[in-house]
Order: sequence, then structure tokens, then C-alpha cells
Amino acid sequence: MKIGKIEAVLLAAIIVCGTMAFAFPAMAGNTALQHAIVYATGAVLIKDQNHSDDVIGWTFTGVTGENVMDPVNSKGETQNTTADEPVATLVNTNPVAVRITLNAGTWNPKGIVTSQGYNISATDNSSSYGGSFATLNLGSETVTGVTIGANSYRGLYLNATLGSAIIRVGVSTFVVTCEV
Amino acid sequence: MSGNKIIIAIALLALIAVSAVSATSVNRNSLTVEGYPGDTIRVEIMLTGTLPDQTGHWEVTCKQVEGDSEEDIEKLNITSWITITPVEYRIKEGETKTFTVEIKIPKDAQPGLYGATSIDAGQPGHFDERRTYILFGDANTTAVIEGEGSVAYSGVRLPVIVSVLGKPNPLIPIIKAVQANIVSIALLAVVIVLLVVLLRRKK
Repeated sequence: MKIGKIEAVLLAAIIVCGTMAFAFPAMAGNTALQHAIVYATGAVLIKDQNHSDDVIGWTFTGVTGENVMDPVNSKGETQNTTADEPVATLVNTNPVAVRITLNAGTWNPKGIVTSQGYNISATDNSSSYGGSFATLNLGSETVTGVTIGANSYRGLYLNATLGSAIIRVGVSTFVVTCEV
Repeated sequence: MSGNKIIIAIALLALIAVSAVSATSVNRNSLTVEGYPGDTIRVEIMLTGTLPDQTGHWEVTCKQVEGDSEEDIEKLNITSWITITPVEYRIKEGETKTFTVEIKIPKDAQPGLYGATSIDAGQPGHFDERRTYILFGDANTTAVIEGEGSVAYSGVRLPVIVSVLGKPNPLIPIIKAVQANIVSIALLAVVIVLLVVLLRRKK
């Protein structure tokens, strides 16, 4: 069977197209192996004064109207602003810096605490007290503006002004969130 | 008299407890999505437990920033667009749980950026450009059950950035299909031409 010029050209085109379709993946002669490591974002850890063990709570003890500045954490460590000993340390285990937001919930019973404050150490890997307490917005978020560097910690100081003592024991939630 | 003072002081003594635990990890640090008015966008998020037994929940929140006008806030606060399921969770060490974030763009939304002041707000360190977040927080399960509410949570905030696009081009799906199959389409065209030529020659 004789093949004309047109058929020959078209057959060649088919061969070229087919070859291109199947050969492109194999044309990468020089390849480089790439690695990508993506870290999950972890919540900030709440630790003791030595930023080693988990802290499971802290307690403010005082009389009506008192501004309590020496809460005791669940490990029995007492906050001491003069000695730069915080009630807890916030530990960022992420490989990037995180910004901290606090949310101190309303107290139950309402009024047992009239106000609360916080102070976070000014520099990374330090527990030093920064000199004054900033106000916490009870029942809503407080954007601290504090950023903790990668794999670093900072001291967390808290105070509370106590209100009514008709019911003597009060409870509240305290939420620490971070963003990358 | 002094005895009375001591009694009053003891009566007013308040014991206030707050518990704090940590921490669970999440597989992303922001949600940057785009869609057309009326679209519903679904994104899956995974949490991994790193502590023995944690109980927590998701929230949607908007950060208030001084200087944002009411007009700005309308575009920056998109909390009403977002739902997360399930909201509550319990997670154990090494366990992974998947959650679905659903973002419903209102039909009357104008094209533009929503939830943040910059399209780059989802990138690490762009804290001040973010407004709308989803966030999770969890705490030790035993503390949650037995703590009478005296439990603190730790968690992560994920900014949500939505680009609302203009009217969709009806040809976009066709263009995408052609681009994805360009070699096959060229091959098919050549075969058709060849067949036509052969048929004409036979005649």
C-alpha cells in the first residue's frame, strides 16, 4: 500500500504527539530530591517556675478588697514579683514565634473577683517581672501584644482584687491561646 | 474587739482556684480561601493529641481593634459565615481528629477581602492584619469533669481570610479542562484530520 505525503506528515504528527504525551515525565534527566518539613502548630504549654513541669492550677487567697499578688500554683510555688518568680511560665515549643491572647472568664459566683491583671516577662527565656500589671478584660479576650520567640518561654504573673466574700470560694476559666 | 476582727477576716477569706493545662497541635496555622457569592467552602482541619486525655471545643471570634470603622468591621467580622463541626471534642495522646470548617459566603457579598486587612494575613507574623479567627482550646478531661469549672484551657487561634471573587466566568471550567488535556486534544485533532483526509482520498 502506497502512503501519500499528507498521510506521512499526519502519521509523523501523531507519532510526535504521542511521544510527547508519554515521554515528558521521563525527560527529567537531572533531578534533585527535595524535602519539606511542616510543623504542626502546638498550643503554648503552661509550666512551673522552672518551666519544666505542668502547672495544673493556681490559687488566690485573701480578704475582701485585697489585691492579691501572691497566688500559689499547683506545685506549691508562690508568685513573688520582687524575686522574679512568676505563678507560671508560658512555653512556646513551636519553631516560630507566637503571639499570646488571654481570656479570663467571668468568675462564678459573680463579684467574688472585681478585677484581674497580668504581666508577661518582657524578654524571651526570662521570668523577670515587668514592673506593673495590665488589666485583664474579665469575660472577653485580652490581646496582650506579647510575642514569645521560637522554642522560648516567658514568665506569667497574675493578680486579682477580691470582692464579695458571702460565698468564699470562686472559680473561673483562664484561656491561653497563641497564633503563629 | 480584736477577736471580732479575726473572725471577720476569716469569714471574708476567699479561696479562688484556676487550673491550667496544655497542649494540642493543629495541622495548619490559618485558613485563606476564595469563592464566589453564594458559595459554601469546606476545609478540613486536624488536631493531634499530645497529652493523655483532653476535652475541648472550637469557637469563632473577631478581634476588636481601635481605629476600625463600622464599614471596616462589616468586612472584617465574618464570624456569622463560619461553622465548625463537631464543636466539642475529646482527644487522647497520639490520636488525630478531623473537623470541618464551613464558610458560607452570602449571596449579596461584594467582591473583596473579608476577615482580615491583607491577603497575606495568614502568613506567620502578620498578627495585626487579622480580625476573624477560629480557635480551639482544651484542658485535662479529669479536671473538666471534676474541677467544677475551675479549669483553664490552652489552644491555638487560626485567622480566617476570605477572598470573595466577582461574577464567575462560565468558560472557566472549559478552559481548565482544555489546559489539563492539551496533548490528548491535539492528538485527537490530528487523528480526526487524518481520517477526514483518508476518507476524501478513498472517494
